[in-house]
Amino acid sequence: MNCIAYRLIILLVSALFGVTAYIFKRKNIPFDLIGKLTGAALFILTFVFSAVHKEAISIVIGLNRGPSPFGTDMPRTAFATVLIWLTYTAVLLIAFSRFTKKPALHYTTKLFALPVLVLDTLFLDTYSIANIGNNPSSDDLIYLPFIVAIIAIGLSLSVTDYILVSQPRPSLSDTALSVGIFAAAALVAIPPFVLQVLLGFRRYEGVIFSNFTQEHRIMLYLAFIIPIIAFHILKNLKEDNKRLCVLFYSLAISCSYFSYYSLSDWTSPANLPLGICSVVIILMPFALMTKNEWIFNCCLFLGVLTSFTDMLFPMVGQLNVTATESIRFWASSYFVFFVPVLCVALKIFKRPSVTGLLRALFAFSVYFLFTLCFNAVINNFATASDYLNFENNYILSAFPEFAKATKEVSFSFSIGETNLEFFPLYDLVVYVSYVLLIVIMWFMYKALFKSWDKAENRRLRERDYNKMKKELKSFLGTRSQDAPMYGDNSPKLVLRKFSKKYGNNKHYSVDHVSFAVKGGEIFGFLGPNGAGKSTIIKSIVGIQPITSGSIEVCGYDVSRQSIQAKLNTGFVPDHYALYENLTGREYINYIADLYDVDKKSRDEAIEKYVTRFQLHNSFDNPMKTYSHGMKQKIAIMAALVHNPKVWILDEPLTGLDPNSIYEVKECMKEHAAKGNIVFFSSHIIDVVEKICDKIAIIKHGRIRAVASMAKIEEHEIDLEELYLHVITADEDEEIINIGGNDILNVTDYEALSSTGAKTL
Amino acid sequence: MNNIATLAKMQLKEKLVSQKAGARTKAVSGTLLTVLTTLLKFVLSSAICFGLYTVAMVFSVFGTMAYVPDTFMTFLFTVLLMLSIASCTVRLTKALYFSRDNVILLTLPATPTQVFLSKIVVFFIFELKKNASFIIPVFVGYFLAHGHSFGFYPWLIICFIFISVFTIAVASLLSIPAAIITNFVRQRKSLQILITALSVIAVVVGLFLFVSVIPGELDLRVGWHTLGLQIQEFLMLFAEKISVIHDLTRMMIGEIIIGELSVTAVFPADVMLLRFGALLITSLALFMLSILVVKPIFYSMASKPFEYLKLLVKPKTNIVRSSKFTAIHSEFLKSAKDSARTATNIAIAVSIPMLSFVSNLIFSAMPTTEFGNKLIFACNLLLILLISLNSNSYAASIFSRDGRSAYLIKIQPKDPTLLLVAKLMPTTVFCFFSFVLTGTLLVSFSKLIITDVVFLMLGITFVYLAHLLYSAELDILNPHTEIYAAVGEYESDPNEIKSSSCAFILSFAVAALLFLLLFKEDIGSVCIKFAGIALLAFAYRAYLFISNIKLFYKEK
Repeated sequence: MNCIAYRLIILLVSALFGVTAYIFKRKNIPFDLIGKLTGAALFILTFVFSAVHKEAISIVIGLNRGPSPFGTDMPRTAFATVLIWLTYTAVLLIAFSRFTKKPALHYTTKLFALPVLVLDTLFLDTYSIANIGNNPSSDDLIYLPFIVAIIAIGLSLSVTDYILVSQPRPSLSDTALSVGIFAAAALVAIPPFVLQVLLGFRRYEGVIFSNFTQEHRIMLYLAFIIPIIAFHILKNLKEDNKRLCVLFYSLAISCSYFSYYSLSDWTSPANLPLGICSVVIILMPFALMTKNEWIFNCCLFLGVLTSFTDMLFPMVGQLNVTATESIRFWASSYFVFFVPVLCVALKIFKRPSVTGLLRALFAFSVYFLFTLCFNAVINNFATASDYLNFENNYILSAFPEFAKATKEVSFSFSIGETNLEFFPLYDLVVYVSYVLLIVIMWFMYKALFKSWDKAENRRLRERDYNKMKKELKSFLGTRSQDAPMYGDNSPKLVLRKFSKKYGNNKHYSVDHVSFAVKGGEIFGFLGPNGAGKSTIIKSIVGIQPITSGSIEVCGYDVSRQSIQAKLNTGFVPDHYALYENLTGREYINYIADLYDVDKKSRDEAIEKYVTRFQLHNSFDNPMKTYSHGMKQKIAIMAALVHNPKVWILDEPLTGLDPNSIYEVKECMKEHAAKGNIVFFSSHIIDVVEKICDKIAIIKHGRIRAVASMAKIEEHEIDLEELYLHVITADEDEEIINIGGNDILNVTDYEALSSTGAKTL
Repeated sequence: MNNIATLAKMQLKEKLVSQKAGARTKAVSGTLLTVLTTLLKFVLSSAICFGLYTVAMVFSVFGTMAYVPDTFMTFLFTVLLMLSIASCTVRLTKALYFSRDNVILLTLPATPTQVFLSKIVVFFIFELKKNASFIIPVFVGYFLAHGHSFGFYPWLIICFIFISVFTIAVASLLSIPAAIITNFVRQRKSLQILITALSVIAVVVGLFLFVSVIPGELDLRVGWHTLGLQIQEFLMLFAEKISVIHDLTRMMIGEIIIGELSVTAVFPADVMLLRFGALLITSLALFMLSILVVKPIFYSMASKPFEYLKLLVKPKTNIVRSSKFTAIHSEFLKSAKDSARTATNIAIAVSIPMLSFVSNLIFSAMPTTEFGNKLIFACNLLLILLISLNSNSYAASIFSRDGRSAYLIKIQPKDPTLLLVAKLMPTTVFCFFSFVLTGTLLVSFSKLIITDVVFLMLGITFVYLAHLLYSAELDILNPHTEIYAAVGEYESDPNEIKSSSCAFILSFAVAALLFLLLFKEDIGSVCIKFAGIALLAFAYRAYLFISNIKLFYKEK
């Protein structure tokens, strides 16, 4: 071999290409198209070369054993192996980068591809011997120009990167990124024989990957571990970068897989890549390049289960770990198994819908019919083909009699000299089995995605929760975690731009409500059904979370300091909710225990309210024997036993007799007279008029009117008429304010952090 | 008729919509899933039954016959029918007389008879569904094992429609005295305690009687043939005594003709139709009788549960408890006041050690090989896990059963995890007691040494606790409080079903896994590994439970 001449040819071609690129750059003529065409040509040339020719070095079975094209020169053998490996990586990177504008990729080709190809040129003799052998025959020598052409084109394209791609001086992180890209590319583009050459073959004799031996189980675990690692590495990249990474991997695997096909394989109908896994290896890169959901769904539904079954019961299981077929099998099985699922996890493709399932079923049906006919045609020749495993499947092995019975129904006809025989019933059974498997896959995916969403939702909520805790801690600074965020612990209830939305509704049930209630006031909350009164009350007491804004009870934020806020609150719901198997006394004592009420206060409070509500005869009977009014009274007692600073009642008078109504009103007045807040919602305007100090009217989730009852009386306004006016007025009208400035003014109640910040 | 249909539709919609609301899937995939799941359950049940019949034939359980005799099917059907009637009676009593929706239904413009019939219709539909999942597959498996012709399958379904009518008619008649007795007993605490004590004594006495019957040495291999013949004799005697049910069974499975090499089932139309006619007439007659009997008394019986005896009780004193302990105390109090719950807890506490004791006594009477010892170990584990984990299905509705009171946890100024875990304490305590007792019995009556038993029971405890937290979490994060508030019961609570399904799968999976491990390692190291892995699983589950509750309630 005249390597010097070939080197000169390579350098000349590269120089010409480089000069042409330089001229194009000077004249501002785009070089993209030439780059893409040349890149595509390089890829195709390399692919065809590897398809028609096997590297001479691929027969080496370990550095300590032969036979190597370099005889006993093991260092040179190792060097040549690594050189071929890096050359494939460089070629893939160069060809791939022609079709993207990613600077990182071009910088990587500059940094690594060029030196590799320069090495190929310098050590052309070593590279050539590794490919075509030490004493190549005349047939082998035909491949030498291919080798030279690949190196020449590759070198030319990487030289153009130096000329055409200009970027500012790269930083250390850019270089590190390029190292990472090249390392990852080298990992995925590794030819199967490299491991065999470098690690040896017989060293691992006896290690088999089937029958669920430890080694087999490790390979199965890796099938799950690798995609998880890949996901975590790729998940934070931009969308198109993720797709490019997966596309590169797909192309690398495709090349590696099909590089094993020799010319004789391509011309033998029984050895064509028409099995499900082979089809997926062909289709995945297309799906990624064209972003075609149809093709992708076929890969997702057909390939994953098939490859997993293959891995569970590998046909190459008896081969050693570094056997070429073994490496090829596992590499391609991993690819088919996890790449489609990884694409969905990384959101490169959408999750499969019922439509996707139906598309996959349709595509499978077409594929099924095709392989059926193909097998029927090819079986006329010497080599029988069995794509889709019609003659070697689970049905045949598990139910041989049944399969035999179904095969008795046959149908054949001839086209010329070709006899086509079909077994309709048996084929139908096989088809239905595959369809069932696809449908099962669909349900498995749904379950998987549901679990995934649950875990992801949990993770995000945990993150938000921890963030909230941290913010509170830093806001309070040196103050105790039990200190109120907003000022002191005096009775007050403040809502600041409180909004509430249920689920995924677009409409807000309560929209930017702000008001403040001071200690010593009885505050009435009026509004029609569905206005948002109960929503506000439930958010104050902690039954529902807040969508936005804040609610403060005695200085404590209801979201961030909920327990402290609840300790200052007593709540009477619109419909009593009690543990009815307990007696009244047991229930009240239980509530008092939760609020840490001491014995003396507890006894006083219970005695007072039992007398007031005349419950002496029933207090020690189970509450399920109580009337509605009695249960409501117990609910009131439970809300007052700990003497809360803020007492909240949601339509407390519903269903009570007049005597009970009177008693409840008296309780409310007494409680407010002690400097506490009584906040209640009601429909009964008469009651509100008689006992409230301040009122607010809410409609469609927004405050429409605020008033002081003193001012209303002063101006002789009829509350009922005011209410009806507000309810029927336009949404755009301003809030009606009758002496309610202090209700709407929430700015007096500002939070003060240790750093002086007013809000979180 | 319109009223009955409207009432029935209303009640069905309430129950079915509640089930679908939990699923929230789109129409196509939701329907596909429901159909597939139902079909799968049916196929699985039939396959299991088919497998069991095949095993029985292979091992010649019924003497020299290579088929399952129709007398066995009579025995099996009798047992299933009795259990079905008992279960129907209990559930129908609750549905007719103790359901909370009576408060609404009795006030509607429909006669009490119409309300009664609407409830029967709803119950009938759910009963058919239950039969389709459990009893029909028993016969389908039989048909598959004996090569019955296709016509028997639709015939079976037609028969079971009327057998369901018969069952419900009997149950509705029995529900009257059941309701009277229940009403009488629930108002008298001392009577409840007495009945519970007597039941426990009866069970223990029955246990001792049964144990005394077990021979000291039990070699099935030697006595297999004799045993087979004895079983055959017993079955024939049984079929003679209960000839009516035997005829009913033969009506469904056909007349079995034993040939030289195989058996054939034939369908003598005249005899079958005559029997079917008798079933039809009996079912309808019983049904008419139940309507006649219930009609004058249904209203007063249905309204009785809402009446309470007002007792004059001496005032008690207020007791202060620590805020952390009070929730636990309150839950124990509530559990003790719920007699049904107490009975269930006692049953769990007693059944596991009892069954374990009996089975190990039988096993210890048998000469066993190494393989047999492994199998016994797996059987013990399976038995304990099946009962204990299935008892956790109650935890899968523990939060919802509080009805409208469930949200009280959100307004109380305590860590909700503490309050929610307190709910699980009463059942857990009973189960722990059961495990301790079972462990003691295992040490005495099995071939396991004390350290093996300790690690085994620890492993079982951790698996139980992990499953308990899983079941509770199902309910807490997806409660059905409104249904329990309205009706008091939820016929097919999806959370309970999930919990039970998980219990079955987990029990079999753990038992199978440990059984297989025994072939590679000794019992001691298997028990230690089991305890270790179960502890890790429990720790992870507990972490998930606490953090999910914390996130759900957003407490500090």
